[in-house]
Amino acid sequence: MARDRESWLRREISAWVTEGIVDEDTARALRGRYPPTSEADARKALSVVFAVIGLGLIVLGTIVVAAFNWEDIPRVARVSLAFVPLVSSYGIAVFSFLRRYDRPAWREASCVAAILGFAACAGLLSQIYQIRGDAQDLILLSAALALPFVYALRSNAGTLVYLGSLTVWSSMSQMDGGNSLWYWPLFAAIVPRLVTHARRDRYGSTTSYLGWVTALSLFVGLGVSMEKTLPGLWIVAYAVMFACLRLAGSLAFGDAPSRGSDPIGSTGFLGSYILAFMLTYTWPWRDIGWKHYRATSSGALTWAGGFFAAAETADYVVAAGLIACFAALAAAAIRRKRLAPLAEGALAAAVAACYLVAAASGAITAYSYRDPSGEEFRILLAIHIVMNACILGAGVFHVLRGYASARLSQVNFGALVLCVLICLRFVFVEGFFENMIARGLVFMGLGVAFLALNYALSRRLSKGDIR
Amino acid sequence: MKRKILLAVLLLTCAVGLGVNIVTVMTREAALARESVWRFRIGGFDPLDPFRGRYVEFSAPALLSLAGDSGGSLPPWLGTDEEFFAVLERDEAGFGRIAFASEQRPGSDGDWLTLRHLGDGRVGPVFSRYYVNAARADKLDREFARNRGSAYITVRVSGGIGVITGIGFDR
Repeated sequence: MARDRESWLRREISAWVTEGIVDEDTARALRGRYPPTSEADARKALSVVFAVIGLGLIVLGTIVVAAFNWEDIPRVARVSLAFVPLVSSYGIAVFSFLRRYDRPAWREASCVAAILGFAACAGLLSQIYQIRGDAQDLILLSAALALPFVYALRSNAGTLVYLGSLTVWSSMSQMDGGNSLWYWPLFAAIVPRLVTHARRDRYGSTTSYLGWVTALSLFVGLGVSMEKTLPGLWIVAYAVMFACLRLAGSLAFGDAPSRGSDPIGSTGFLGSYILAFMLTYTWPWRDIGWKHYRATSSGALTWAGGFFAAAETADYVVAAGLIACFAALAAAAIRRKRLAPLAEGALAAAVAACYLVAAASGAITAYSYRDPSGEEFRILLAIHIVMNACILGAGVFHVLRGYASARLSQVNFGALVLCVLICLRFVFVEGFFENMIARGLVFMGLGVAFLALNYALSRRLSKGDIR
Repeated sequence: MKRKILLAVLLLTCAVGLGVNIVTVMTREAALARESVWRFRIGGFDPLDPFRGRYVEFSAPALLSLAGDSGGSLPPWLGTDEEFFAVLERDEAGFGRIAFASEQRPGSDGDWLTLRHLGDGRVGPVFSRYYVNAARADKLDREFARNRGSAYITVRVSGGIGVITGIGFDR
C-alpha cells in the first residue's frame, strides 16, 4: 500500500478508537491486516532501481563509445571488444540466477544488462563488418532473446524493456514499409509472466506500472501491426480491444482501491470513450469497407503492391480473436454479475454494427453530408445518431450507477462524458448536422429530460429509496 | 526440477546469443580472407544509427538489376521472395555487375552473391550501409556531395556473402 494511504488509514483507525466506533482489539486487527511498508522494503526497491539504472547506463555508455567507430584499432581487437559486453552480461545473468536469485537488484539489473549486452555485441559486429541490416532487425532479435532471461530471472525491468522493444520495433517496422507480424506472437509470449506477477501482487506498484506499459503497448501495437487492406477495420479492432480491456480489468481488478490500480480496465474505459467521440465525426467512416479494398496481388505470404498478404491475413485473425475474446469476457462478466463494464461492451457492439452498415454501403465520402437526398447521407446520419445516443446512454448509466453504488468517481466520470458530448455537439459540429433549429430542439428536449430525471431522483431521495 | 529447466533455458539462450554473433564473425572473416576485390558504383547520404554510429546510406544500382545477356530482366523461374545466385562480372571500367541469375549454387567461390527477388523484377539490396568513424563522417559527407556519381565500395565475397572493405571515389 502507498505510504500516504498507509498514514491516512492509521490516522483514521486512531480516530475511530477515540470516537468509540471500533474497540482496541478491532483496531489492532485492522492494523495487522494492513501492515506498514517497512524501511527494508523501501530500501530494496530503491536498490533495484539504482542497480538497473547503473548497469543499464554502463552498457549504453559502452554502445555509444563503440558507435564512434574506432576504425584505427585492429579488427581482431575490435571484434574481441565487441564480445566483452555480451560475455560479461551473460556471465552476470547466470551468476545472479545461481547465486543471487533471492536479491531482486541482481536479477533485475543482470537481466537488463543481458538484453542490452546482446544488442551491443550484434550492433558492433555489424558496424565492424559493414553488415546491412536496420536497427529494427537488431531490436527484434534482442527482444526475442530477452524472453528467456525475463522468465528465468523473473525480472520486471526486463519485462518493461521487452515490451518497450516490441512496441518500438513494430512501429519502426511499419514506418519503414515492412510489417509487424511478429508483434502478436511475441506479445502473447510475455502474457504468462504478466499474469503470474499480477496474481502474486495484485495491487502492488510494479503490477500497476507493468499494467500501464502493457496497455500502452497494446494500444500502439494494434494500430501499427494492422496491414489495413480492409479500410476501416481498425475501428472495430480498437473498439473491441478497449471493451476487452475494460471487461478484463473489471473481472481481474474489480475491487481495486483506485482507478490507477486497474490500468488495464482504466485504459479500456478511457479508450472506449475517446474512440466513441472520434466516431461521432464523419472522417473515420469515409471510404471504408469492401468496396475500397486494397487488394494484394496474390495469396502468397509476401510483399505485393505495398501490402503483405500474410499481414493482411493476420488482420482478420487478430480481429476475429479480439471478437472471440470479447464474447468470452462479456459472458464471464454477466455470469459474475459485473454489469458496469457492459456499458463499454455495448458501445463496442454498436460501433461494430455501424461499421458493418457503413462498410457494406461503402458509399460514404468526404462530400456525403452535402446531399440530404442521398443514401449515404441517411447512413451517415443514422451512424451519427446511434453513436451520440450510445455515448449519452453510457454517460447517464454511469451517473446513475455511480449514484446507486455511492461511487462519486463514477458519477463524476459519467458527468464528464455527458459534458464532453454536449460541448462537442454544441461547438464542433460538422456540416451535415448544422441545422440550428434541430440541434436547439434536441438540446432543449435533453435538458427537459435531465430536469425531469433530477426531479424524480430528488423525490425518491427524500423518501430514502436511494442512498 | 523447475530451477534446473530454467537454468538449462538460460544457458541455451546464452549459447544462442553467443552463437549468432560467432557465426556472423566466421562468415565475414571467410569473405575477408579472399584476395579478389569487387568494386560497385554507389550513391548515398549519411544518417545516424544509435547502436552503430554514423554511416553512409547508399544504393548499389549494379546489384539491383541484371546487365548481361538476359537484357536486364530476371529469369521467369524466379518467384517472389525467392533467393537466387547472382553471378558477377566486371564491366569495361572494372566495376562489378550481375552477369546472370543462377538457380544452382555456382561451383566456384568469390564471384557470386546470394540475392533475393522481392517481386516484379525488384532485387533486395545486399549492400546499403557503410559505417564511418564519427570524426570522419562529416568530411566523407562533403566528399560525397563534391564527387556525386563517382563513389564506389570495395567488397570481398565468399559463399555468397559480401563484406564491404572500403569506400572510395574515382574522380
